Amino acid sequence: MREPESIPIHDLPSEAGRGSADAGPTATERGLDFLAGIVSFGAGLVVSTLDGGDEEDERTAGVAAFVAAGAGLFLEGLRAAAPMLGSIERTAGPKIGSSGAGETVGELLDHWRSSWEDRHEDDRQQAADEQLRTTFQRAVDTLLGQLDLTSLVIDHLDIQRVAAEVDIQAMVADLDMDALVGRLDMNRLLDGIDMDQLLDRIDMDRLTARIDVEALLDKVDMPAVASGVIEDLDIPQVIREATADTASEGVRDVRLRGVEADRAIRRVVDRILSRSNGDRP
Amino acid sequence: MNAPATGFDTVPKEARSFHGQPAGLVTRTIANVVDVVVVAGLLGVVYLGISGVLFLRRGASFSFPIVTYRTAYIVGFVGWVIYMAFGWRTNGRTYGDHLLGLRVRTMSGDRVGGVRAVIRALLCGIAPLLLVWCAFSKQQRSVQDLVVGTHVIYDWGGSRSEVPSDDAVRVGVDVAAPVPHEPDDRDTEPVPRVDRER
Repeated sequence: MREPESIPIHDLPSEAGRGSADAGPTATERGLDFLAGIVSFGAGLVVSTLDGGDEEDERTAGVAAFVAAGAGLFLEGLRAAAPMLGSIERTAGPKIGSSGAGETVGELLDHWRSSWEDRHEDDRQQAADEQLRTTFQRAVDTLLGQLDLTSLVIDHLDIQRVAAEVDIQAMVADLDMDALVGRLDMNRLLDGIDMDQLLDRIDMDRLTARIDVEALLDKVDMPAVASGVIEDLDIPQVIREATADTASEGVRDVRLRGVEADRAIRRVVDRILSRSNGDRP
Repeated sequence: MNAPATGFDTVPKEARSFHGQPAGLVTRTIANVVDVVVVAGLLGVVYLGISGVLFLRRGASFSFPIVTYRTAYIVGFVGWVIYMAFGWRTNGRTYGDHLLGLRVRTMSGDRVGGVRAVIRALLCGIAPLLLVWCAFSKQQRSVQDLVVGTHVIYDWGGSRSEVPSDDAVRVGVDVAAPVPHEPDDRDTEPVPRVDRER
């Protein structure tokens, strides 16, 4: 909203001398022009309001047309009346002008009309800016739609340079690794890994060479491990079993010969009974 | 078989191929012969002991007691039954079984109970020749076995491991599986010989 300008009332008497003898527009004509400007602006406002509404039915369009036509007729009437009123003014002008009242009213009307015109100009400027912005946005959208930004970036962007500028440490420090790991499905991840191929790529010799076995063993409570193993395996029982039934060489020989004889007898019986291993009675 | 598994296969190497399989006629007959000799020896020792007591009591008038056939048979039969039943009930085998690497088990693999051991010993004493039936039996069971529900298996001592040994894993053998009574490869697999140089 523009600040209202001060009306130069004190200057009016000094300009009174210019008189109405000049061929320029008289106060009455200026007043009619001003009135015509107001009517034109109001009619344009009404028409634009009716046109800009969401309801685009015929009734609204008819009202807008009617208002526009009425405003047009009124303006034409004013323009037709302006010369006639001008002549009347010129006739009675000197009498009124001698009092200085005509000049004062004319200046005031000029000031009002200029204010209205400025305001109208601002509105038109805003509308033009808005239209320009919309047009520019559409142009940019169309341009981006035509461009393949991915290939453009791949072709023209030096990723290495960009990566060199990125502070990875700071980025990693900002990451919530726990939350990140918590979202990973480790089983699916592991299913996708070819462990054989992975193991083939590992140099086990180098890996084992880097392991300090001595230090590892120092940390292990070997007596506790050994006692646990002996307890689990029941070593005394193993020794008892291995020694209790131990037979001498001669006894083993007798046993083996006995087993051989058993099988021989078995084969003979099978042959006599004409049977195989699977169909004995 | 006679001891809880320890994690090691403590069965002697040369017996692993037939450990747990039913024993045949020859080994069982030899075992019985050995047991007869043992029982006879024990009875002889008892006779000598009684004679020694009589000698101490009678002095110069001592003479060895005369044992009739009938008495000898009865005493020998009772001694045999006691000896065999005691061996089967306690350890699953007599001395003859031990010498030949045999063991008596029920068909479910359990230790033989007292009643079964006595009945089996009685049958063995009354009709030892019924043992011959094991040569013709499909499961190599004698008539005594069929009556009391037992069988005689090769058992040189030790036990199978519950955890497969390296050898078993290498050849794909399930050592924890029950040993079949009639393995298909019994007749074709050679019996391992004892390494005499060891």
